[in-house]
Amino acid sequence: MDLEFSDEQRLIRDSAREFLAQACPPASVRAARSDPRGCPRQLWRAMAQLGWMGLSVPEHYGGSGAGFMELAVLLEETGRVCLPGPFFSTVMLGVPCLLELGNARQKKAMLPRLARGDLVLALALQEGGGEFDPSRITLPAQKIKNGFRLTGTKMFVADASAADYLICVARPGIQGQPGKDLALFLVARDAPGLHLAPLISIDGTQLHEVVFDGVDVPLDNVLSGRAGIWPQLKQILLKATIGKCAQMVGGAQHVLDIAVSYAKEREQFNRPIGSFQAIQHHCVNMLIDLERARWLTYKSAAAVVGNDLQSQQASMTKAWCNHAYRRIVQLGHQVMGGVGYCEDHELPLYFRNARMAETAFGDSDTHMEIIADALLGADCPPIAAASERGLAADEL
Amino acid sequence: MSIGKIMDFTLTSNPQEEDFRRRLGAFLDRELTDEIRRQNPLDKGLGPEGRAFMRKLGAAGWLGIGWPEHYGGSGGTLAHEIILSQEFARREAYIPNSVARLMAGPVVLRHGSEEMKREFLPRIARGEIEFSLGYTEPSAGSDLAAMRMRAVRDDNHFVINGQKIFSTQSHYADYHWLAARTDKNAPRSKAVSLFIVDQRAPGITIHPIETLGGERTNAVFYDDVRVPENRLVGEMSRGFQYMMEALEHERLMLCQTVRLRGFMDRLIKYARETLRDGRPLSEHPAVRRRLAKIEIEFEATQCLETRALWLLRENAVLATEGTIMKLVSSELRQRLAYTALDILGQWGRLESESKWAPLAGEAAHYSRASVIETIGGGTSEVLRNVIAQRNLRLPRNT
Repeated sequence: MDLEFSDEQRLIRDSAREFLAQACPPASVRAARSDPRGCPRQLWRAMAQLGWMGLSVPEHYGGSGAGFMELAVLLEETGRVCLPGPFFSTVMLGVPCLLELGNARQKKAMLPRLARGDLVLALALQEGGGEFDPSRITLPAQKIKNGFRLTGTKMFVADASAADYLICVARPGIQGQPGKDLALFLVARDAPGLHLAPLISIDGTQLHEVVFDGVDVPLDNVLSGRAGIWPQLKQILLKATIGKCAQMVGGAQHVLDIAVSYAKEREQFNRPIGSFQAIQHHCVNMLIDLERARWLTYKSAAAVVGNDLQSQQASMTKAWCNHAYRRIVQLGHQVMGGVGYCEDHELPLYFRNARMAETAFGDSDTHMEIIADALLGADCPPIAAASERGLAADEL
Repeated sequence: MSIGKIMDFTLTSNPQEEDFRRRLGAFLDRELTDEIRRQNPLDKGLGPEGRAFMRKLGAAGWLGIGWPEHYGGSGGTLAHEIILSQEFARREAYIPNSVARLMAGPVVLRHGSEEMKREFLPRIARGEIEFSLGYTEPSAGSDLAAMRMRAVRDDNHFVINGQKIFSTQSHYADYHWLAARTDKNAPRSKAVSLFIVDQRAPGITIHPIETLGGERTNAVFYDDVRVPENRLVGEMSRGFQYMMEALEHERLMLCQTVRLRGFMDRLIKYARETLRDGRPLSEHPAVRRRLAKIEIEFEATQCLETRALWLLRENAVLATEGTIMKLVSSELRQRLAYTALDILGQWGRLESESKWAPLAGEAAHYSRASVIETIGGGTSEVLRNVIAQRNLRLPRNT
């Protein structure tokens, strides 16, 4: 039994915290809302120089070859400051897609550039219904000479405007007939037929509706697998879910810290408001939800390292972190009163951040259903139409 | 940089502990019957089966597991104590004689005279004597320092007058672990001393109190009860200090969130097997949601408890870990009770002796018994104050 970070992990944490406190102040987070790149160029380069983009890239591709715990530690610190921009998309989605599904040539071409921070990636996964189930991914990839042609629309694509390449999850088919497997298509930002429509999100994330109007993708830019890419992509998404939870723990911790500091300083009725029971109880309620979110997240991160993360575990973690971050921000607002409602205060950044985080990789209802499935079995037979679409059973 | 260190959430660390867990588990699987389980916590009194079981535990050296061998213990570590608690909790049973093992015994071990240690510790460790707890009074609950029971020195005795309430187990315990005021003038928390009193001494009257949860507790009246001076525990006026010093440890050891797993599993099984409106409860969205929700809270709470137990094992000084765990696990228990009631609907209100009572009336009973969870051992309100002030360092309201 061992529930402490290593010296190396603590070093990552402490140095990241110190760096981000001065390099990513609230003003930067606000400014990023109107920047299609999502992250100030200087900050991005500094992070690259610190080796953050290459943290999980294997050493022979120019990275540090660190594991998931190290990533989780770093992500928690980015969450603490609401780090804007495509860091998460690139490192938690882009890099793993290349690592798990890229061929040797693709990996060699992209991973070193990713590790240096010279390449930004975004994942285009969800479609009109906003679902995560692979059976709902139907964007056709029509076989053409030397490649595929993508035609359709993706929704909620984070960081599309910052990305050098979009990784589009689509369904290859022949002559209008959809196949049973999914594949990944690397689409250059300037590809003809690619149209980005910005979605104005509550936290300023560069979110887009992306239209693929006959976008041609050469074979060289296709990532596929023998059983389709879903088994690997599913794992990538599960791990990204835990990464998101780590960020949420960091953000929630900061909210607790500023609320408690405020409660000690702010006086009303001739005493610090932190001496009033109601305020004390709010702060404790924040703490007990946060600490459970923290250790549940670390346990799941340990499971990732052990190659043992189950869907149910990931869902429980995300659902709890959704609840905790929401409650912590709410109580933080109660403690901080009027000042926390002002946009020039940092608390609204965390409110906005929590709103986006709680639907990333599945909202609570979605995760509760996954948990209920694991506890009780599915509530209804698999969708009948699936067999008509020729989907493999394991894609349901 | 190589792949970094991974956190390990499993609770046993070495082969010796694994072996102990196995042997203990085998013993419990053999010896622990439903009747023994039932006799304690209902606190109607350990019956002959419960007592025989307790003596077997004593003979195996497990009642005084962490105590030195020359006082009848096994010289075990905190890890052994944790394993012992867990294996009982996993089987939804309680280790008998908790007042003796977790409160009286440890204080005597730390502060009692050599004579007192030799008189009591081996007998507790063998399961031969039982203790009841005499702290709370009608006017001294959360504000324990307001207690009024007086112990006045009279030659080589103390004469004790006053009343205790919620003195559960007094009707069958051999000894009363008693807190009484010994100093009229000192500040409240420095005026209390601890005593071991023979529960059958003349002048003691015990009145039963029935509770909502079905346990029997007692009001205990002391009318000029004479207690020999060698039954003062440790030093005069240090009672409060003794009572508080191991509080985090006690609170943490009593939590054992894993205790809830059995009931949760029975509830899940019931939902899968019972039809309502023509289909299993497990297919109803509201039921699915309720069970998923409580499962999440259970898992999150267990993770935090694992972390706290690890700190305890590592001999870390606990700050508020026990208090936090008591707070969150008690509230989880109550939410679980309501989850069960809400899923079982009208059937859930049927008591164990009723026809058609689901899960042998567990839900009805559990809902009643869980009311005290957020009150006894520190109310949730007081615990939040403690955590706020000691952990978050928010200022006292002076």
